[in-house]
Amino acid sequence: MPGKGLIVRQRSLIAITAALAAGALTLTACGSRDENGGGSDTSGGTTVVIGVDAPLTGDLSAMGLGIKNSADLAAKTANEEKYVEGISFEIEALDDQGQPSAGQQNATKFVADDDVLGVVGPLNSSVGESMQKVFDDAKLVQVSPANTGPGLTQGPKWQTEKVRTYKSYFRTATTDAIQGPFAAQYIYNKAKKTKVFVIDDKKTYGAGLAATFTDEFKKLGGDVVGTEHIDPDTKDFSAVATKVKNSGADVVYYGGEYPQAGPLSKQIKASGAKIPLIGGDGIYDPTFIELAGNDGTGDLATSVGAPVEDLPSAKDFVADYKAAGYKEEYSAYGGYSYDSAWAIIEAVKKVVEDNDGKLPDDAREQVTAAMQNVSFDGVTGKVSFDEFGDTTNKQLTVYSVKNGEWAPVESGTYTG
Amino acid sequence: MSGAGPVEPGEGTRAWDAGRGVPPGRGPSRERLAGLYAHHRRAVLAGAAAAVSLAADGSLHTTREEAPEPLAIAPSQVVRVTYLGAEYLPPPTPTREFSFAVKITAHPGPPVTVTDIPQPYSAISLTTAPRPPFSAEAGSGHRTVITMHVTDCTHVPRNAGLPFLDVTLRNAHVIQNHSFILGERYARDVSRSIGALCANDTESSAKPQDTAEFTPAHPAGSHYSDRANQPEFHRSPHRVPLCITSCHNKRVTASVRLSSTFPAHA
Repeated sequence: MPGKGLIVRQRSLIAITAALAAGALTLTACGSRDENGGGSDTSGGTTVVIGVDAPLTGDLSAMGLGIKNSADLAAKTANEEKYVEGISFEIEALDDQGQPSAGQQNATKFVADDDVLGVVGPLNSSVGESMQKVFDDAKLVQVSPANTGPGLTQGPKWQTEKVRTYKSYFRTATTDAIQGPFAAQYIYNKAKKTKVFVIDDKKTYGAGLAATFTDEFKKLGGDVVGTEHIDPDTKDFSAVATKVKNSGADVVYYGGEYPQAGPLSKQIKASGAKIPLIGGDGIYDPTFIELAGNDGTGDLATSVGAPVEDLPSAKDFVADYKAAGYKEEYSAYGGYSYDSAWAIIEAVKKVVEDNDGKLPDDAREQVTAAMQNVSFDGVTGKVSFDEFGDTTNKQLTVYSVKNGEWAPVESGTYTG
Repeated sequence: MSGAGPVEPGEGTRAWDAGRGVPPGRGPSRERLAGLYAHHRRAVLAGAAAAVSLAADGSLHTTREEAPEPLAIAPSQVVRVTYLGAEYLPPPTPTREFSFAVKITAHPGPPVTVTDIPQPYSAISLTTAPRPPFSAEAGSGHRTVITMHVTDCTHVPRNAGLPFLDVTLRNAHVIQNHSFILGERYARDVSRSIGALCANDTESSAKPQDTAEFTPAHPAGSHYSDRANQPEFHRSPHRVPLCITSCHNKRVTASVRLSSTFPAHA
């Protein structure tokens, strides 16, 4: 993670400096705007805005606020270090509430703001889908820390023909093309579960993840003894829970997110089926454990990346995040959000340095192009992108609920 | 620093032997000190030893407080395992065997030991040559042959999409079992090889996608350093003998080669 060691020591000084700078900006009427290149020129340099799109309110806000705060930490770190000479970074966060339509509106707002040279987000793959074309038409780079739907980078026919549709889209999280099979391999080979009941929420992420899990589980020899779809707008899953109990399944796979997964797990256990529920990164949040209750012990989740314990850079990030005083947890995607924002900062740095220290007129287009070759040691490991815009760092971890917390069980690295 | 050895001058300190900090004529003379030493030699030595001991202890304590130990990196974060392709087994090839090449590389830094390469599938056992433990230090290279034994054709997964290769790693801090997902090409090769070996075990098994003999594209000892250098599958007169009645206890051989190249990784 770049620059973490300086954060605590310099925070108070920077805070004073920032306050003085803010006052100066107010007195000078916030400077003048570059007509074409993006960024606002002030007497103190140019301000570049990094947009953040995430669910900041609603059921998924625990993850969304972690995304926003972590991107903010990256911007502050870059400013403290003066990482890009003459450039300071600001975060502008918009709330998509986990809704594709809201995400698309936010994308349009970001495009309309010339100061925005990159966007971190969103959380949901379905929201990401709704934003991609808007950003791509404007050549505005987007780096998602959390989208795992394979089609976002590899096209709708990714299983048979991988084609990159949008060159402005990148992500630091790995895909469900790996996550689903990874879960299936663990459940069948390690946990020795052979009969699964598969449930999803019919959304892009949930249905896609359930499909990749199911495909691999069958290939391994497992039996899918039942399937169901749930309505994510309800919390009464008693009918589905009864079907699970009657199916004879020894494990439930859920493709979806924690607001539904928690109650679903609880109601399945209450029906008499004392079997674990496993889901993907969408349920890997402390809120799931709260919602699932005591019987959720033993439930499982796969999530992107290695456990914090395995990465010194991640430990530093956690310490710096806490020192920064954010009210909300950094959540599952904190490290990936920091790295997504830092990737944008790196791309801006490259463009500025190649243009004699100033933003060029076509800054957005050049930042998007520079992103393809960005490479740095981030919170989550080496950060770089392949020909599809996918991260080259593809790690996954199985977590289990133990003593009221998510505890890492096993990690894997995709090296294909 | 462990506290052993001389204390080096640093910010706000002076070297002990500099002598320049004491103005001439202001301290005890050398002659007087020599006389005192002669009369109280044992006491002086004991006192000096105690002082040195206390100083060293204090230095150690201070060092520990001011310079915390660097955070340990898990071995899985500095080791990479990649599938390279098939290995050639010269005729007469033992029946029911085939081999794979895998590259295990380590990031420069503290040494990491491969302590085991277990096989996660219940219907396959696995042996390696040389047998672990062996070092995966950066810069060193090994060639290791893994032999897979298909113990039950009826339960062996024939078409796994992303099979694991588990590797147990150890460094100075921790022992860690890590799954390496070697990708589609590895999955395809394994599936085809197992399919060929278990082709006649049709009672309760799914038909393999391709029962053609697995023939590697490269001779023994070749290094598969790029992904384009892929094994090929084609039918040949030297077919893998397929079982007549049952495929239990078939053996599948794989090989692992260790080499040193590894991209920088945090």
